[in-house]
Amino acid sequence: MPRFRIALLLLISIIAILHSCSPIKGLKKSPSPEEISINLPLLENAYSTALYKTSISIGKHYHTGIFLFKKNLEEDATNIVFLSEFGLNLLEMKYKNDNIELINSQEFLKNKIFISNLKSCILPLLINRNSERTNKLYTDNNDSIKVIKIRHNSNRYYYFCNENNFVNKIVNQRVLKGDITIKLNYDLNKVPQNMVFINDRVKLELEMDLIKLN
Amino acid sequence: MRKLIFAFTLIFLLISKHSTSQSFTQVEDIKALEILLLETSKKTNSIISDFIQEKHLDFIDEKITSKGKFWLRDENSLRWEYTEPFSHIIIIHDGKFITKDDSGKFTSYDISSNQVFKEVNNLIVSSARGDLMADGKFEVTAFESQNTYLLKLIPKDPQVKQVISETELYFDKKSLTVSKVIMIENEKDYTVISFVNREINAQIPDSTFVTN
Repeated sequence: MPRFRIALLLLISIIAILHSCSPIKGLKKSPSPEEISINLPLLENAYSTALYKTSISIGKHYHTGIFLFKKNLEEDATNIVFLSEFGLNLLEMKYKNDNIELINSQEFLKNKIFISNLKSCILPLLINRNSERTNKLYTDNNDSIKVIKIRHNSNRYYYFCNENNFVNKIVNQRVLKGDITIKLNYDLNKVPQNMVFINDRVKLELEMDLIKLN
Repeated sequence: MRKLIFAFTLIFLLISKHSTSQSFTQVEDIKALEILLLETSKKTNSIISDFIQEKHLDFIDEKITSKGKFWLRDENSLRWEYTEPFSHIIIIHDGKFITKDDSGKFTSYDISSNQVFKEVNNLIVSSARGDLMADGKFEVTAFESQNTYLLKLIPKDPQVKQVISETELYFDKKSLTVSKVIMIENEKDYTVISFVNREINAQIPDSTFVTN
């Protein structure tokens, strides 16, 4: 069999697999995604500092501490710091120009897979739904399920909204790296009270509970 | 006028900073102080104390404050319990690091599996006990004021130094117990832990270091 045919068959198979795994399987594309207003970016509304109590389990490693998100208006950025319970800085990142940059990290956290997953967990909480990005809306027949799909670099983010258009689940579809699923719960605030991030492929489970908003 | 106010403020700040540093003078006989602190530490079997922890970060104006209580027994048993702004318990006991959150979920892992983490925890425990000076892992300079001894410790281990560049321990001269610890990570980020309502050598049952 000629090589291009094998390549074509492989490509078709991959597309078929990806399609069958799609989080929006069974939903129909809506012609007017702009009609839905959702609370994006999730961690940018109505606060200047947000503190989340955090536990991270990845493989055999376990870390606990506090995640701090601080808006940096001067730089149009968000500073992100992971602190140990005793107050020491364990990891520092910055969200700017639609990307998360690692500023500093303790040696024991400098693991490529861990850092990459952490960035992929946090990025969908901070990205905007701007017009430059492809925004697509998918709904079921009753409009009870609404999903906004946003493309960002090679990733696809699926934001599942509840009846109040609050995002209660995000699927970050990452080719060959394992999808990250984020479940979000709200209390009285517009920002999530509890978030659970899971990537089964690398046995990552990260949980954040809101402590304080300023 | 604004420039004048700014200049006065600057002078005032410089004077107050200078006078603070002036109130401490270097301890000449550091060996004698080391023996004194070590003797007190040897007589200390347990400490129970409330604590106030303040985290200062370069990029935020307000400090992050948390409060709680700790129990320290012998060298290896610590319960560090946060009550504000959230409930969280850390227990270091029998080589294990255990955490328990307000929902009752607890996790346990071997503290020796991470060398740096082990060193940082030793630093916290030894800071509370006040016997850091003797373990040879730090370059120590000592200062004193009327009521306080101040030890400045710089870690010799480069990996630990990356986590904490300097630790300042403040000892009450009367009781020779630690009243305040400042862990400095870099020029602008540091953590202050103040100990209040201390009880020395009180009975602490085993159950304090167990989570069920």
